[in-house]
Amino acid sequence: MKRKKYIGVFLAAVLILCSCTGCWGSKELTDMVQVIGTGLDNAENGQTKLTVQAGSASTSKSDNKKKSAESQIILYQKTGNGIFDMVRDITHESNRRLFIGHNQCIVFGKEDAQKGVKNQLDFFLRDSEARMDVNILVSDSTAEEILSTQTEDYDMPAVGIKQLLEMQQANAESVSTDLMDFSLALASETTCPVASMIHLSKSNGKPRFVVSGTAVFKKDKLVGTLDEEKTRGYLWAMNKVKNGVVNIQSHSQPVCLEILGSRAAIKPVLQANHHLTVHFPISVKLGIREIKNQDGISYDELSKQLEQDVSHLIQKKISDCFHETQLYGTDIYGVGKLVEEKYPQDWDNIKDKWDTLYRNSIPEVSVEVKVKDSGEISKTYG
Amino acid sequence: MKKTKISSSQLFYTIICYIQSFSIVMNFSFGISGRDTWFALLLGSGIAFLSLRINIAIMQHFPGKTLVEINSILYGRKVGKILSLFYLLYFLFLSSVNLHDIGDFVGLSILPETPTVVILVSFMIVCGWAVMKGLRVIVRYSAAFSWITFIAFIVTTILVSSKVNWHNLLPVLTTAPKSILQSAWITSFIPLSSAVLQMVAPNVCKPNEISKILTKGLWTGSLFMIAVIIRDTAVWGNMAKSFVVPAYETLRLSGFSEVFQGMDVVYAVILITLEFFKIALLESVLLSGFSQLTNQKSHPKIMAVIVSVLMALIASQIFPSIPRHIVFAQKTEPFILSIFEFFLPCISLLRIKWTCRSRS
Repeated sequence: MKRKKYIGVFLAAVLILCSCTGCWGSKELTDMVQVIGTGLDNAENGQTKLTVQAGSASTSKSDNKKKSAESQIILYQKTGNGIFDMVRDITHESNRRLFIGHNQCIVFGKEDAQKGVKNQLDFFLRDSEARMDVNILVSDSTAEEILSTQTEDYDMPAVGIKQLLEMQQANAESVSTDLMDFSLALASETTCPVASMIHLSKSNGKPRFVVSGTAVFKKDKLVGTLDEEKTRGYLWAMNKVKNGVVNIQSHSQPVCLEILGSRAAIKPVLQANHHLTVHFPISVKLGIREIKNQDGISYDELSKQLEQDVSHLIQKKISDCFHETQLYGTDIYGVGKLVEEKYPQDWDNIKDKWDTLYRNSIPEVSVEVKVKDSGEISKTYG
Repeated sequence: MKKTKISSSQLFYTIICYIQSFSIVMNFSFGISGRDTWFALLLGSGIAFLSLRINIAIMQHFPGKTLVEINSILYGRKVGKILSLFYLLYFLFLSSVNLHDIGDFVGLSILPETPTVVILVSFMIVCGWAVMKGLRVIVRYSAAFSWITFIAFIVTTILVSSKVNWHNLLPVLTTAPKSILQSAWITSFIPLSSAVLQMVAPNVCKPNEISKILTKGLWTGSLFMIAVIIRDTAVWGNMAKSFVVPAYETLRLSGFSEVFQGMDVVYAVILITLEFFKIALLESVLLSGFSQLTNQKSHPKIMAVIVSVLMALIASQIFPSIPRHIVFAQKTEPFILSIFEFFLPCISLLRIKWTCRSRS
């Protein structure tokens, strides 16, 4: 009995020792190259050009000096048919395995996005290392140009792009789309995906990333873009404007207002003859931040005037954006989904002609603006 | 056969834990009923409740007797033993399929480069060890596992609340009724099966509470599963159909800062723990059924090793790929399950009624 117990303890000890050696497929940080940005461009013969921006932990033992982040950025480029194949192909150039769990952004070249991105996203959805919070962007030139450019502002360009997108919430003039949002829109019957536009500005000879405007997709193909103004219109309608600045001309003088908050909804109304009206009720709270030459006007009068002017401005932006999407035939608002929810009985009859119905729909924007504060002073200065 | 005594609360948490453990395989139903899966599960709970009432009626007629003992009394020694043998094979099938699930899940989520057979063998070593310690030791942990899962569910739901879009659940009930019924039939047996409970329930110290506890446990477990399905649907909409483990994909989203984004492994460990509980319970039931069938007081410990090896072997060979497994679970498995969970208990109950009537 005692002998059996000893054998049992011995076997248990061996098992525990075995399990202490680590995981079977363990991946040490020094054996991996962290992918931080991925770019996809159109290549010849229907192939795709993959640009991978990666960063790795230094493995050099002789160099005790602290390496700058810049020197640790590695760029890999491959051309082929499948992304998985190209990622594996990089092992011919690198003795370390690519790890895409920390990928910050996927940038599509404009031409590539026009061809369709669904097949390329399949890899990022299927791979167990890939994450859903990776940002999707479209370059107005090529993805390679974006990922291979070293700017002064950021040591790791892909991380910089991610931070830039996060900062966009402060001005609400660019969308921020991640893989999850994009995939959900792609999986929808009617909703069209959008993504941020990115380009390189070379003012003063120094390259700098600029995120502005919106790429509009129909199914998975890029069909057009929205400028900053229309993007703001889209964000107003989608209830995504929480911060930002509104610049208007009041009494022919510039006034700068801060957005303190907004609430918006989309309410489609389907008439019996299958005519669609889309209502956009919006309420906005603003604060006066800078006004010039408005002497002699009372605060009440000024705020009433500003409320009216801003209301017209928002109305115009939303309508312009909606009309633009009607031209593209892209329901980026998810109106179709809302119609399906509200009129499930009619949906089966109209879903096949949804494109036409959307193009012919009438937007009705009602904006309620309230100027809530005037800052620290109640009159114009000087 | 010496019976292990367990408390009423242990039985209650055992049922909940058993049902919770199926949250990694709900893609079977999502694939059929999409965003209306929550309703299919609600309907499935109704069917499972009916099936449970049948099993309770049988158990109440033979208080303190397990499924194997009831079969022998009801159908005679020979036929009863053959029937019980089929039930044991059914438990072996159930545990092997679930073991295969865990192999797929671990391989997919945590250890992609580790051969599946290594995962299965390691898992079965732990399960076999637990089984050797007895049913009482296994069910003792059910309350802790259940509460950990409840807490993890609440925490992760709060963390993914920014990704929740209630519109993803709308419009309600637009899936074809045939698909909803098919999905309800699957859910009534795959997470909510009750045959295994017929082997555990007779061990409860207070037999008069069995009916109440089983019913309460079934509905608590069902409501938990419905809540999980509603959360996953609200996050993913119809896209939940595409994932192999929708619940895990939701959990992967629930990082609460840049630092804590890679928390997947913690959630995966909770799901693996639940699977461990279920497989250990099934193996324990299988072994106690075997000893009852062979009229032994308790099963020899070597049997636990043999069954563990057998389960690992079957699990490693049973399905060639995950999509094949999903198709099998959607089309074939519900019929196998319904024979043991619904039709055979119905026949047993009819036989009891018929015997009672002919006696009177």
